[in-house]
Amino acid sequence: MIKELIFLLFAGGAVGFALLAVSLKNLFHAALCLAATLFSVAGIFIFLGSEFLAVIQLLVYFGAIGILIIFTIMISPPALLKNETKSVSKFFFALAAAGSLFFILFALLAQSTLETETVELGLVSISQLGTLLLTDFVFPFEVIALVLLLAIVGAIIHAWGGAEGHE
Amino acid sequence: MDMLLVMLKIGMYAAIVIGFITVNALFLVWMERKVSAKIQLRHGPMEVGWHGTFQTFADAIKLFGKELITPVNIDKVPYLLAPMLAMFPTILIFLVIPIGENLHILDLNVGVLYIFAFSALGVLSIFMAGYGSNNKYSMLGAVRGVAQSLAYEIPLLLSILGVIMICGTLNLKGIVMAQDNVWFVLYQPLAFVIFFISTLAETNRAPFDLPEAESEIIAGFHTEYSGIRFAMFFLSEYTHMFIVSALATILFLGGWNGPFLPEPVWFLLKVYFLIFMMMWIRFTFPRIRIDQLMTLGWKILIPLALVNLLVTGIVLKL
Amino acid sequence: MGDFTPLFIYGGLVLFVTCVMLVMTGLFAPFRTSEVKFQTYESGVQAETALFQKRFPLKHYLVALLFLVFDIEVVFLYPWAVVAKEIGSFAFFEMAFFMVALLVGFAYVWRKGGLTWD
Repeated sequence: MIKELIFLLFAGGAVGFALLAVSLKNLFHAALCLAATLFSVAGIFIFLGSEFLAVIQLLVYFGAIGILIIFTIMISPPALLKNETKSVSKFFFALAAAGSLFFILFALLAQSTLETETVELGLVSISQLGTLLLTDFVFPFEVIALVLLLAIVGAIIHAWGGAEGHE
Repeated sequence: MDMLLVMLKIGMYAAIVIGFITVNALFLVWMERKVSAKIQLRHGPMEVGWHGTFQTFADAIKLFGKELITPVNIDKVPYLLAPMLAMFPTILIFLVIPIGENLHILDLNVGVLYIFAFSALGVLSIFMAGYGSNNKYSMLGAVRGVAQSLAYEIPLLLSILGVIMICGTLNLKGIVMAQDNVWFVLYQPLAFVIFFISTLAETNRAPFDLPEAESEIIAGFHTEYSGIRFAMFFLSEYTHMFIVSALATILFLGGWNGPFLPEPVWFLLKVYFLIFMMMWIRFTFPRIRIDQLMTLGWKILIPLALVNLLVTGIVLKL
Repeated sequence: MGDFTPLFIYGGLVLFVTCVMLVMTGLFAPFRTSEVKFQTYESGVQAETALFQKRFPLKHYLVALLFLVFDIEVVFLYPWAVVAKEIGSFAFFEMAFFMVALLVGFAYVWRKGGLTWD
């Protein structure tokens, strides 16, 4: 009983804070709401039986990405921080963009057939995870290494506004 | 009725942890004042109680009776939430620290990472305090604090990997059990040094106390806080000192292992010895500049931690 | 799965207690208003209070970006470190490849001066 209540608290928190994050005018408050959403998602991971993932969610998403987004807000031009009035054309553009993404995803999902079956949730231990990463999923694992390498290069180029931006 | 019993138990744990945190912080403040006094050939507090033992209790009572000043220009929500968010993770982290073989509240399989995950919450609280105060000193302190925590978290996480590789578990109890015969500080001396330096930076202790460098930016991110709100930042800072020292004890100094004395005594002795080292360092070294801070973190500690990892891996495979 | 309900209840309780602490002293503490007292602190001169509208130049931004990438790499190292003793040599070299990618990235950042504070 209490378990369900706590789950609802986290799930509701995730949805509610996510809605706040996209609707709040103050960008800093929106970023804080996003952080709260990420925190709630960590709680949901615990209910899915993966404490490791929950901890990583806090460490990487909350601790690194949350902070990074706040830093980004700090260096964004002041015009963005002001409470902007809503414009109708912007609203329709946003609606069109979001709508088209929704329809593409919906069309893709409608085509695919999802096998639904009840799977017993077992505790995924870290050693299992480590072994799986280095045996069954070794190819994606190494691809991740390359993607992260690209991310580092991208970070440098992005932060200095072009490869020649820094002397 | 079973539910009620569980609730009572949880309430008891909360009371114990909060009580311990308060007493620990009061003791550490007294200890810090005494250590600094002895290093500077003074006496420190002497009036209240034996050698000023109750000085910090008096200070705490005074602090609780102080007016709460809420400046007019603040951003209310982050400003008011920040002290709470600073306290909350430290109390949660205490759950997983084992002070004896059977003296722990929660036995998690991901204990080590759990501690770091909740430290991340503390980083956000610094930022909320700085931004919410709408004061340039607070803002500067907060940005410095966050950047510093981020830069030193990588060497911290890397230095632990060597220990994890040797004992093959992230469970804090398991790590201590693996040190029954030999403390890991003997296998991983370099990792211990990297870990210790990084924790100094993580807890914003001198010589890495740029976020609250009082001679430059007043009091850093908690410039605008007073009364109990300030006390909460203070409490979380000293608790954080205890937590990182406890983690160092568990990972490198064999936790509760030791002859003759009972387990918790050994554990606390090692922890307070490490805290004494932190205080000793504070009153010995001058504050370092921000460029030195970044160079030390990125160019010295991270490569050293990677070398340590490599050597550990090769030795394990041989 | 392990039962984490006590942990959540404990967390809720702790949040509640900290709230109570904050509110309680608000009741005990004296309150005397004065306009100057509630101004932003600035050692006696008129304070700068327009921070919310200003752009805050951050050199720390690159630090945050690099932290993010290295944090993810380190997180992948943890599951590996747990099983490092048991796995075979082949898996060990897989990890070595991962590490080399990390090191190349690190060397690139160093070379480009991303680690130098200016």
